[in-house]
Amino acid sequence: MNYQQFKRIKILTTSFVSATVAVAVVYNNIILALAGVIIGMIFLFFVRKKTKIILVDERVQNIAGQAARLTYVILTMTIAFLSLIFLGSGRRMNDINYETLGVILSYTTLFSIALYSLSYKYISKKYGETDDEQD
Amino acid sequence: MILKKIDKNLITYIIGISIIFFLFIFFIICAQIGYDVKKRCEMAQSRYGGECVDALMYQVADDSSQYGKNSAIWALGQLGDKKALSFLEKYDTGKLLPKRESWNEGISQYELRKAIKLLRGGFNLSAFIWRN
Repeated sequence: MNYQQFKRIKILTTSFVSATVAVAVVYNNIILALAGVIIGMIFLFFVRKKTKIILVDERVQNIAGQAARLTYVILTMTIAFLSLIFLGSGRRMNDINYETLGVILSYTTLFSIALYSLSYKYISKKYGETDDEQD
Repeated sequence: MILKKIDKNLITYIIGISIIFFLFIFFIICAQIGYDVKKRCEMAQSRYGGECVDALMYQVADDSSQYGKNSAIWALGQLGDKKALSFLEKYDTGKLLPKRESWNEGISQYELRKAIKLLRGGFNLSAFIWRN
């Protein structure tokens, strides 16, 4: 199977999963939605195994890594900025709805930063970084 | 033998993720409790006026409506203001509680005693987070 065929099958599978989930939502049937997603995932897994070409090379991994990093930076900064706005306006207008939203967004920002730091540490150790290299 | 094969780095990562996730959920719950208390205060103040604790005490004392009395007692317990202690103690019947009563059947003795316990200096970790 070449890359073009794999891409076509991937698009078809995604369409099938989307349609199943849409039908499941209309009929309020969570089992159908879960079954659709799981079948799609299993099917793609086997198709991927059959594909002989390298689907994910270093270049793709590098792009994905950079995109993930950029997404993290933009998302975290946006949430942090929004939390400050909500906290400030909540305190100024004495509105607890805004204030609580600001607090929750602040916690989300901290959670995101902590998660990133931990994941960074784990991955860097996995690829052989020693403690001396960090200092 | 099996433990040696398991990646130590991975275990540390999973434990770290679990701790961070637990802390995140805990802080969100604290924020939610704080929000609930402030919302009860706001509702009581809009009806009875005055300071938050006074408005909540008015709500508990108001016999014209049973609605919201238990949530007002809960909020008083969460706020931890000592001036509500003697007021709440008046409502304690002292009877043994077979089970937790429903909030729709007048003042819940279970909720009342929980609030009194907090006002007497009981440990309330979530309040420490959302009050500061």
